[in-house]
Amino acid sequence: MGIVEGMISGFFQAISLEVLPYMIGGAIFGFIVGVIPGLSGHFAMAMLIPFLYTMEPATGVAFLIGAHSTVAQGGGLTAILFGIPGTGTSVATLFDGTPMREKGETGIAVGAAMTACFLGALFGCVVIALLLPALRYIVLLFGPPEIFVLVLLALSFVSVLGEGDLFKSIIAALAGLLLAMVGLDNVTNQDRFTFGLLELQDGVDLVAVILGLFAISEMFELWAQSGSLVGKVERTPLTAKETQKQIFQGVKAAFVNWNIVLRCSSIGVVLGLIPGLGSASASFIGYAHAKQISKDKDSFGKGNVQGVIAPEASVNGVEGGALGSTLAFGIPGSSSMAILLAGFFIMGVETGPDMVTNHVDLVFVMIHTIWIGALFGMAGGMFLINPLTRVSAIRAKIIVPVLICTIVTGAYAINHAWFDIGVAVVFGIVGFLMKELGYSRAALLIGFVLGFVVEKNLYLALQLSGTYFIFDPVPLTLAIFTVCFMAYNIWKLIKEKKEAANGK
Amino acid sequence: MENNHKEGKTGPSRNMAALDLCFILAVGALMTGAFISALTYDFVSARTPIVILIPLLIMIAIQIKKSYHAGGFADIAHSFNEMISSRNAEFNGVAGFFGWLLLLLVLIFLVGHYAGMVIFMFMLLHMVAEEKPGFSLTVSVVVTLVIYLLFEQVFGIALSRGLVYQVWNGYSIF
Repeated sequence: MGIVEGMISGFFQAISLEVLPYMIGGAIFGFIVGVIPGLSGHFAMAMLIPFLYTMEPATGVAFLIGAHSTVAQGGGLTAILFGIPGTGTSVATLFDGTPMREKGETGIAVGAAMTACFLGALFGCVVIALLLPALRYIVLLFGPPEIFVLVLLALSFVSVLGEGDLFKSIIAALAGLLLAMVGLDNVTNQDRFTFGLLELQDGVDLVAVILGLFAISEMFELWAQSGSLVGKVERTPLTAKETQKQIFQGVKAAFVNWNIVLRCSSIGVVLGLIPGLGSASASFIGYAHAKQISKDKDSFGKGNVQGVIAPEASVNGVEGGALGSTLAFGIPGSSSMAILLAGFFIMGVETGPDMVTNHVDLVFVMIHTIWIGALFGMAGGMFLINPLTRVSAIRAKIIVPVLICTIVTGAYAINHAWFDIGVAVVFGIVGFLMKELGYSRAALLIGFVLGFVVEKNLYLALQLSGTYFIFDPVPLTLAIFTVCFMAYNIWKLIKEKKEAANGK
Repeated sequence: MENNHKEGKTGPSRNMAALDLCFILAVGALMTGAFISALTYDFVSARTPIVILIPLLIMIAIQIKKSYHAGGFADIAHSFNEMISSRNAEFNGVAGFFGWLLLLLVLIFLVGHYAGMVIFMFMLLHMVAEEKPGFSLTVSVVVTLVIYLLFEQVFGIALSRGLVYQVWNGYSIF
């Protein structure tokens, strides 16, 4: 299927009655999750995963990506209205969002943030659509040996560039790889790490692991909170009419500052292509860049609308870039993309050359879903400020019982198996401990998802190219780069420690 | 020496250091077991796990050393004492939530998803969140109804009816 044909077909599939309601449902769910502090994008996606078993690929991906595309907007809204980031990616929005609220410019900040989100997402979609012809060509150069080494490179990126301790991230990534080895070996049919349990012969269920790591673990944390999720809820002193008037001023401000939107979206797309960096880094880099190029640097942090536009545009630009590497190489750059990849596994969709050459329409369903979802998020954020923000006023002890029942039901629904609930609960505790102790849950999940890819491609590489496949030009280049990258970062870490010790 | 590096440490940070050490020791034990187990597999099946496990065990050893220097075994004893004397509020909260989670599983196993969820949500909302009985019951029933409509009607996923229902209908194989 050609690119243009795929683009048109993807658009009509995305707005069809079979797909659009799910996309809207996902977008609304994602937005609400984004508004609630403590719940993140991967939580929204994890909650939707159990429903994918009964869905067609186009419907399923629209459902998942629809939810993911609006989380950042919900988080931005909470950051501006309450001074608390709804998600980790909205922290940079606080710097100028909160002062704008204090100056009585809440509507302008919300309008600008929502529009910047949409424009960032749209820009990311355009870039990934333009990159698709090149990706189709590049991906054909990657056989099993190249993919094997590329996965190792991606894992080293995730470990080094992700948040937290380098050693802990590498431990999490390697443990994730090992987790994928549980069950019957496809080649020799030998039981591995099953401890005699029949339930483990098919391996550890991916959905149960996702629900545990990213949904149940969040519940432990929310439960520990008392009172309302955002503390004292400050309502905007403006009337509804004044707020709406300001919102349109904010929309105009986003278009007037098109230069910032374009630059920060580009930063987001590039960072999205690099595994491990994620949206949070993009928002800070976008903010710093906007401040750097501004003629009025001193006004940043005091309520400059550019300080709201920049991080929001960057965060949503990331989606396009992250989707590119996930679809073309099957290598997710973040936990959300790893969950998306898990969704592909469930629906029987294969990433890589097959996806970007034979299923271009499905690729475009995803691309269209990102911008249509962001458009819904923008409209929702601008016109439903008051009802949506009331969600944040709900006490944690009310919301947790409701969510935990849904999660447990979702875990059971995967295979109608009690064992999966047990797996979800165990990984819930593990996920909670990992979060508390600074181990990267994203690295564990990405390792787990890529574990299958690593073993399959290592086996194929050894069969096709022999023991010395690593000395082929592309794998060798990638391997040298991986070793240098890791060595440099470990050297930097040791140097910093020595300096810190000398400083004492 | 051990006392020196703990000087000025607050209770929560001591607890975290101890928890970190316990966690990495548990992971280390699990991975050592996995390594021994992997040695018994066919070469082809053992190849990838062993390639992963060797650097992983090295990393875990380094991390154990780091965590030990950050806290040490004395902190584990201190944290354990706090836990059993119920002075650690965070641990109590998490343990309490885990207890509630187990109760939910028992309820679902016995009376099925729907009745189990209604009872669980009502108990939590009324007893822990201290909401009024009417509100608690309404929320519990409405949420359960939404879950029923979503899972069974929209997505066609049948949920557990529970042991009591099965026995009532003549199920006798356990």
